[in-house]
Parts: sequence; C-alpha cells; structure tokens
Amino acid sequence: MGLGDLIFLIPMFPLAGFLLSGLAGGALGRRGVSLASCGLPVLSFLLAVGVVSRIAGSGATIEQDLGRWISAGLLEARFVLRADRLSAAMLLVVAGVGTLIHIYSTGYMRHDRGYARYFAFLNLFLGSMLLLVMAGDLLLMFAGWEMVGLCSYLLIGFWYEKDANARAGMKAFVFNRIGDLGFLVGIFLTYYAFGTFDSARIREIACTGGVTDPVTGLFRAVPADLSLVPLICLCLFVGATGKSAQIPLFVWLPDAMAGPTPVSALIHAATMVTAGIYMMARLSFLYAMTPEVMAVVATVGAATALLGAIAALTQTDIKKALACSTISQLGYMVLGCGAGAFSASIFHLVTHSFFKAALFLCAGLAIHALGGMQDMPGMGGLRRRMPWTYGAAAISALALAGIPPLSGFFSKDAILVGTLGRVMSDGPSPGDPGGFLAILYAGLYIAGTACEALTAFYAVRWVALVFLGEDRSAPATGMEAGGAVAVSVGAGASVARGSYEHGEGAGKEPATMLAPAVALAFLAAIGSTLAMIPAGGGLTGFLAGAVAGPVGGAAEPSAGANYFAAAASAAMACLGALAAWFVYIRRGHVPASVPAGGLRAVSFRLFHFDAVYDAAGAAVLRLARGLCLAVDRILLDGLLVREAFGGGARRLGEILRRTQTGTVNAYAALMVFGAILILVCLVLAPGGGP
Amino acid sequence: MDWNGLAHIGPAIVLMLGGAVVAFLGMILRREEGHILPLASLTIVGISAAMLAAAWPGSAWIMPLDAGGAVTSPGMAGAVIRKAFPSDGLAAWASATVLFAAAISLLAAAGSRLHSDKPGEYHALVLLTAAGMLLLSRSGDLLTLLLSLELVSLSTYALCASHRPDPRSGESAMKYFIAGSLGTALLVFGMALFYGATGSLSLAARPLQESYRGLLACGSGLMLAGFLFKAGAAPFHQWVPDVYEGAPTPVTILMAAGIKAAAFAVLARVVVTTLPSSAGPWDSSWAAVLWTSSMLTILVGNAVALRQSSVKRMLAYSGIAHTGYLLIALVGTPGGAESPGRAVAGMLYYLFVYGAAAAGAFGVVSLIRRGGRELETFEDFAGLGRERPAIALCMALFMLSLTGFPPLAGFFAKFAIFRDALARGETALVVTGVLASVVSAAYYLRVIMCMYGSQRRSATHRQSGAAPAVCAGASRPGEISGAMGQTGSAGAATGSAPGAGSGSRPEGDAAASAVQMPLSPAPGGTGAAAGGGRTAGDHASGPDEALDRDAPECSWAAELAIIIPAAAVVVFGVFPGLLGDLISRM
Repeated sequence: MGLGDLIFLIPMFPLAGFLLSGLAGGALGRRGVSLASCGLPVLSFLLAVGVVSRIAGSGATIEQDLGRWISAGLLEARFVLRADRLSAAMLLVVAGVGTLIHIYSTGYMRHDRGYARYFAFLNLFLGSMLLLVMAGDLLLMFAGWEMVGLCSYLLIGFWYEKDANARAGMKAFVFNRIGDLGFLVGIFLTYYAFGTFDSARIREIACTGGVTDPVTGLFRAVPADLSLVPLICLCLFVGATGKSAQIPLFVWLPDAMAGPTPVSALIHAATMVTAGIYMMARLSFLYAMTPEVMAVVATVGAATALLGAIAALTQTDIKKALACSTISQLGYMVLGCGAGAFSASIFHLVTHSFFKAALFLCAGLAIHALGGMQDMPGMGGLRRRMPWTYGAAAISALALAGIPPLSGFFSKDAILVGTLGRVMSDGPSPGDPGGFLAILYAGLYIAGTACEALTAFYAVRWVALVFLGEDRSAPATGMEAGGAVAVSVGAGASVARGSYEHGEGAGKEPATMLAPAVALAFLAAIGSTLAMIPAGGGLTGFLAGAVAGPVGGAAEPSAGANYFAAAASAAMACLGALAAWFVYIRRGHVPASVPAGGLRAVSFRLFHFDAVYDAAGAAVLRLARGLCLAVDRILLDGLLVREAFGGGARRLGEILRRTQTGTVNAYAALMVFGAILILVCLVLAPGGGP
Repeated sequence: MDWNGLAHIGPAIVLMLGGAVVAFLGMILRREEGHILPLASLTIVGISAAMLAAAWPGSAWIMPLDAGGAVTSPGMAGAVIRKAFPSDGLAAWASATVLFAAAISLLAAAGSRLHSDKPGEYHALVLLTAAGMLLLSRSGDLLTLLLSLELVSLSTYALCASHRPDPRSGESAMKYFIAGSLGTALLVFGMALFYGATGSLSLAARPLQESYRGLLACGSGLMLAGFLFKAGAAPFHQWVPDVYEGAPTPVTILMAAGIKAAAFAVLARVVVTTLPSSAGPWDSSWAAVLWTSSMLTILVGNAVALRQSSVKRMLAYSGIAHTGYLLIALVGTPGGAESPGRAVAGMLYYLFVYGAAAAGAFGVVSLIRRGGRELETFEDFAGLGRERPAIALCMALFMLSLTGFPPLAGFFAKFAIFRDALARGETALVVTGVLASVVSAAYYLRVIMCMYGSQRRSATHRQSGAAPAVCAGASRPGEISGAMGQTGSAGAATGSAPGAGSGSRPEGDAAASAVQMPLSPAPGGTGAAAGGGRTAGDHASGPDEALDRDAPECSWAAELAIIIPAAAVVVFGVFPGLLGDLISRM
C-alpha cells in the first residue's frame, strides 16, 4: 500500500466532504460543516504534497487503475488516475488555493442560510477539479470538466432567489455547453484517430508511432490517422475557449461574478477557468504537430488578452473589473500555448491563481466591510480602515501589473519570450515561404507587450479606486452610489445580498478571511522564485518532460532576446502604472458608475458581444420556431395525422369494429374461414398440393 | 431411475402439487383465514421460480429435437422426460414470464374482492393454469403439447367464470369455451394429420414418405391455426376482447401476460423446428401465412382499439396489436437450431416486457374502483392523476411502454423485433408496425391525457346543469373540490372522506353528501352543491363518483401488482443488461 495506491484519495476526500455536507449538513451544524469541508481539502493537499515530492524526487509518473469504467464493444475506458509533473503542479495549485479559499469562505458565508449547501457544492467542485487534473484519459477528464461546469452553474446561481443570479448561472452553463460540444467532438476524433482515450498512450502513439509494452519492452506500431490532428486540436480548442473564456465564448465570465466572491476567486479566477489551458498543455504534443492551429490559438489568445484588458479599463463593479482582467490573463496563457511556450503558460497559470485569488479575496473583504457595496466609484479610502487588506491587495495588484520582481512579471515575461522565440525561429520555410507565421507572431508579441501597459493601468486603477483617495461611501453618497450600481450591473453582480451583516464595520477584518488573502498575496510576491529555485531550471525545467518543448526544434531564445523582452515588459508595465497613478491618485479622478457613451461605453459593455449574441440568438430561434411550426402544423398535424393517417385508421377501425358482433357463432365462422384460408394458401403454393 | 430429467419439469410439478394443497386448504380454512390462500399460492409460485432458476438451461436456445421414434432403452425415464420436455432458453424465459404473470395475477386477486365464494378453487386453478403454461412452453411432442394446452384451457374457462355475481363473467367463459373448443378441434385434427404423415409424435418428425409432405403440411397448417387462436392473432382473434373484458381482471392478467407467453413459446418452437421439416417446397407459403396473419393482426388490433370507449376493451385490442408485433419476430425466421436465436430472444424480451406492462395496466383497472365498480371508460380515469398520483404515474408508464416510448422497456422490445425483421428483409411489416405504433399512441396517450389533462368534469359543464349526471357529480364533495382544481389536494382529501365508503351508493347518500357540501372550500363548489342538492335524487349513476377509499385489507397486494410491473418496465428499459443471457443474444 504505497503512496501510489492512495492517490485516488486526493479527489475522494472533497467528494466525501460533498456527501457529508450535502446529506448531513443539518445534523452536523455549522461548526461540523466547517470542520469537515475545510479539513478534508487539507488532507487532500497534504497527500498532494506527498505525491509531488515523490514525483519531484524520482520523476516517475504515479498511476492508479481503479478498474473498468465504460465498456461497449471494442471501446473500453478505464478509470485511471495519473499524477505526472504537469498534474502535480496543478494539484498543488488546486488543492492549496482551494483549501485557503475554503477557510476564507467560513468567514465570508458565516451568516448565510445555505451554509451547508454552499460548502457541499464547493467541496464537490474541488473534488471534480482534482479529478479533472488527475484524469488519465480524456473521457475521465471530460467527466471532471462537466462536473466543474455543473458546480460553476450551481455556485453562480447560489443566491437563486434573485432572478439575475439564476440567469447568470444559466448563461455560464449554456456558453460552456457550446465549448463542451467542441471538446466532445475533439475527444471522439481523437479516439477515431488513435484508438484510445488514454492521454499517455495518445502521446506515445503520436510521438513514436506505436506503443512500447512496459513489461516486455516490445515495440508495437499502431497505425494512427495523423491527418486528423489539426481538426482534433481545433475542436479541443473550441472546448478551451468555452471553459477558459476566450473569444468568442467569453461573455459568461463577467456575469459569473453574481456568485459569492470566494467562488469567483476559486472557480472563476484560480482553477476552473484554467482547465482549458491545462487541457491544451496536457495534449501539447498534439498541438506541437500543427503550427497552423497553434497560430490560430495564439491569435485568439492575444486578441482576448487585449479585449479583456481594454474592457477592464472602464469597469466600475469591483468584481467585474477583476473578471475582465481574468479574461485578459487567460488570453495571455492561451497566447503562450499558441506560441508553444506551454510551460510558461502553466507558470503564468500558477502565479495568476495566486494573485488573482488574492485580489478577489481582498475584494470580498472590501465588499464585506461596505455591507455589500460593489460599485468602485462609491468606495475609496479603505486603506486606513483595513491596512492589511490594502497591503495584500496592493502587492497582488502589482504582481498582476507585472512589476518586477513580483511573480506576475516573470510568468508573463516567459510567455512573451516564448512568442518572441517563435518570431526568431519561424523564418521563411518550405511550408511558409512568405514567413507569414513569423510576421504574425511578431504582431502578437507587440500586442502582448502593449497589453502589459493596459494591465498595469487597470490594476493600479483598481487599487486606487477601492483603497486610496477619499472615503466616498458616506451614507449620503452611498445611497446614490447604490442606485447607480443597480443600474450599472444589471444582470450581473448585485448589491445587497443579506448574506453578511450590515454595519459590521471595516477594520474588523476576520482572521479567517484575512489570513488566506495575506497568504495568497505572499505567494504572489514570492511566486517568482518558482522560476528559479527548484534545481534544473525552475518550474519550466520541472515541466520539461511533461509538456511539449519549443515547437519545430526552435532553439531557446538567446540571452539578448531575453533581456530585451524583459526590459520591454518592465518598461510597459511601469508606463501603465505611472499613467494610472497620475490619473487616479495624483489627480484623484473618479469615473462615473456608468460611462456616458462613446468608446468608454464600448469597453464597458465588452464590445457589445452580448447584444450581438442576443440579437443573433433571437433571430435563429424565431427562424427555427417558424420552421417547426410549419412542419408540425401543416405537414405532421394536418396532412399526416388528420388526413392520411388518423383519418384512415379511424375509418378502418369503424369498419372492423362492426365485424365484432359479439355473437360467438360469427367468431367460429371466421375462425373456420381462417383455417381454410391457411390450407388454401398452402395448397396453392408453387409446386405444392397434397 | 434417472431423476435428472425431473428437474426440467420440477417447477410445473411443484405448481400442480401446490394447486392440490391450496384446494384442500380452501376447504378447511375458515372465512377469516382467507388471506392464507394468496400467501400460500405466492409461496408456491416462488418455490417454482426458484426451481426454474436452479435448473436454468445452459447454452441451447432452441433445443434441436430428436426426430427419431421412441426411446428404446428401458428404465430411462429421465431421457423420456428430456425428450418430451426439452429444456432450453426459449422454455426457460417463457416460463419465467409465466410465473411473473401468475404472481402479479395472484397479487391483483388478493387486492380485489372477487373470489369471495370459493377462494380455494380459484387459487388452485390459477396454479394449475400456470403449471399447464410451463409445460406448454417446453413441450417437445404432440402428446405433451395437447395435454398441457388442455390443462391451460380448461382451467382458464373455469377461471373466467369465477366471478359469479357478474353475468359478463359467465358470458366470457362461455364464449371462450366455445371458441376455444373449436380452436382445440382444429389443433387436434391437425395433429392427427401430422401423426398420420410422420408416424411420430415428435415435433421434429419427418414425413414417412416424400408423397406425405402435403398431408404433413395440412396437419401443420391446422396446428398453426390452433396456436394462432391461443395467441389471439387475426383471424382467430375475436374472442379476445369479449373474454378479456368479461373475465375477472386478475384472470385477464394471467391470460394477457401468461398464456400469450406460453402460446408464443410453443408457436416459436413449431415455426423453428416443425415447419422447416414439413414444408419443403412450401417454405415461402408458411412465411406468407405468418406474414398475412401478422399484418392483419397489427391492423385490426390498432384500428379497433382506436374506437373503444372502455379502457379494458382498449387494452384487449392493444393485446391483439402486440400479438401482431410479436408475430413479426417469427416471420421469415429461418429454420435450424442456432440461427433463430436472435429473433426468438427479441420475441421473449418483448413477451416479458409486454406482459409486465399489460399486467400492470390491467392491475390498475382492477385496483381502482369508483362506486364499487372497476374503472371502465376513459372518463372514469379523469382526474386520477390528482386522486392517486402514484398509481396514475404507474399507469402512465405502462401506457408509454406499450406505445414504445424510450427509455422504457417497451421501446427496446419493439426496437429489437423491428431491427431483426429489417435484417431479414421484412420491410413492409416493419413499416406497418412502426406506423401502427404511431397510431397506437393515440389511444394510449388518451389514457394519460384523461388522467392528468382533463378535470373530472369542467365547472362550466357542471353549472349548466343540463345533464343529470352533473348533479350526481355534485353530490360528491370530493369531486367538487377536485374538479375545481384550485383547492388543491388538501381539499380533495378532506372532501372525499364523506364520499368514500359509499360502495353501493344508496340514493340517500347523495343528499347526505350535499348537506356536507359547505365543507368544500371552493365557492364554486358550494354553488354547484346547491344545484346538486336540488336534484340529488334524480340520478345516482354515472362515471363521476369519488374513488373508493375503503379498499380491502389486502390492497397493498394490488398496489404491489402495479408497482412491480412498473418497476420492471422502467428498470428493464434503463438497464436491459439485467435480463442477462436474453439480452446478450439479441
């Protein structure tokens, strides 16, 4: 019974917590629920640490086969959990950040009526996410993928009494569903091409053209249809755009802020939304085979990064601003995947989960202190009342902004260096005589670097509006601001939820809430060391075997390119931060809760994607309705049922009913007639006759 | 003595001995101890089922019969039994269906009040019928076939007549007896010709001379007519609605689910083993006979079911229609011992699934009573969804399964049969079957719509006061509050209490209820009550009294008779794998 036989407990602990809180929440009481639902993730985390230290030591993959899962004809899927270096990194993040946010939630949800329900869902989420991360094959990963989607839906609509919240949950679910369809088709195509769901075997087949038996060491060639790989990668990427909020499916994420703030921190910033990036990194060897698809991925990522950053510039809801930032940062990660810098993407995923979770937790503390207010123009001056929160938020925001030497700078820089590397390696080639890819990646690099300035700008703006300046939440203005919020956030986050006690003055930051925020901010600050400390090249080196390396055998970018990129990003970040400092701190500008119009409104409304989708969706539905009506009313109901079918059957029935006279002699006569008929039929048969 | 062979017919022997015991018990037990009889009978069925499971046959699906003459070596009783009663998958699954039907029938009978005068006889006859059906499903030669068939027939005639207070019961028994005698006559005549042509009692016998083939064909043809009669296929179907409707409902369950299974088992055996050897050049004409019968049965059953106003009669016609679908499985089934396994497996699955749904639906008819009568017309079912939601849900499941609605078992049964028929090239039959299934939705869904969709009678209709029945409706307070629809179930529950217990519905009862009318919280209800009070004495019949609540003490048994088939219909639809080797062969 070694550690390898116990890894199934990592997802099982939170799932047990789900059952415990979900079924016996009332009997346990609040204390019991808190203990169970925080204690079990801690156990998962400790086990994960054990697993990671084992993997880091030996480099081996730990695998546990829990038996047959699905079997139908030739298709067989086994319930395999696997921990390699990639999933190890994710395990630590998910279990670690997850545990911290569970602890934070005990404070944040203290007065909520649905305390047990909340923790049941949160535990279910954690278990599902760990399952997703440890899944040994794509089907199991899809199961986890769907389960986290379900939890996201349940938790966004947690305060379902409010119509807007329920609708936000639905929207997230529907948009995720579109992506999931792509993912599912991708999985089927993968099975079609490789004949297996197991990601390790897919990798082996894709890279070596066959399978090596682990016992005998014999190599067996497996014919695989590699021409399908670009299509597979595209389909899988569609899945990633849904889950990881990329263009064009990103619109659900800002609305998802309707859920409780810890949920936004855990699900919609740190873990679930990064599942798409994790999936692409897991299958990075497939992506590495198709430079064209990678170019698409990178383009979408860079565009999303820019779009999110521009949208974040004008948001006035404290959580929506962070949500737009999340979209933007996820865009960076996707850009990294598209540039072949998978390990850099995972690095950024890790640091982002630290600083973005910390920012959300600080936002939660601020909202708590202000009795449910989420409108940033109505805040301000919280620095004096909650110094610890301010400190944590400031450090995390600077990390987000990419100010060296905080972690965000290093991880983002790694992605941009990877992109720059593609520019240098992708010269004119036989497949690409014009050097088109090199030009494209150069453009993407410039966009990414410019986006750094925007990132720094909105990060500093966020801190300034919430924590610096005058306290604008005085009762008189508070009313106004509250009214404005009601207008501004519409379908999204809401103001008063009644889940926390009003008037629980700021400054009394509960330790259960403050400690996780500070811990995450600390991690955000020192996360940069991940790039350096572990022997053998930091996190990138740690992941080297687990994800595909630079594409097309491109050399590592030269030291000169490295320094150039680092200097450029640092300069852009400082530029953006300075600009924001000038506007929002020096001059104390306070934006209106809803921008009046013009370009600001375009940014505030996320480029009107929602309105377009609404109109298009409505048009499609109207068309479908008309078609269905025509087919149903005229063809089916009218022609088939009333005339041809129903009428005929009814008339036939009427005639036949008359033969049923009820007199038994008539029955006997028909029987004899039938018997004679049978005999005649036999006698008249060809070649027959007695 | 070789006792091994006895294991094959052990279940039937247990049933026969048990029948004798139960008949004896019925004589010595006092009236108050009557509940022992159903328990004893169910126990005997259980023992029989356990023996069946213990002697479950291995791989053989339809056992190839020995075409030769008598067993010559002396003292080989076991071999004789094995020859006369082949043990194979066909027999085992048909027997399982028969025992299931018998159990459900016994449960339904325990919950109704029909066997009041001679309960011992009734239960003994049910057990004997079941024994006959078990033997019938595994008869391998003419003699055992005829004997077991007659055991089934004679017991059933008596069972049909067992509800003496109802004249329809006697009528149905008489009709069944006359028509059945004719059917048996055809069968026996056919057997005589068959024996004359082959000189053997074995179903697999070959003609003695090539020139006897025609004689053999005539014999087989008449035998086929006899079996089609038992299965209720056109043109030998006309007894079915009269008998099903008139017979006590538990007996109908036994006939619809049990006898159909046994009849189809023996029919399949004849089609697979006898016809190929006897037909020779008439191969195609056999298929044509079955094809025509199947087509006719589907059309007649579905078309006439559309026009029925009695639910029980509709179910009888639907039983005819399902016989037609089942015949599809046998049309064009090639001869030989191995190849027809798939089609026969589909047929057996269908038999089990249809048996469960039909038994449950008839069980609903027998359990729920209004004013001491079984529910009869579609209107009687109106409002059942509110009054007995669980029962109504089960009924809805039966109707959907009979329609062939996924994911219920009925869908997969139809799918299996149609798929195999398509593979054999019977496109016309399959198209007819599918279209007929669509038509059948009209009458099955009508039950569901009555249960859930319509009020017992609309408020406006009641207020008009035109029909006398309206007033009678108003005389039941539970009706009003239920029909008003706004007072909710609480009102219906409190309101129906005074209306319950009026099994014989004396005239005065209506007036008494009308006095209690103000209890009903609905204002419309009081208004209608006033109207009802004025004319309460005018009319005291009609389909509008409250459900009887004073069910006999064993009503849980009848509820089991509904819930078990409902569970079967759902579970074997969602998890067909539970039917083990049956499914694996399909």
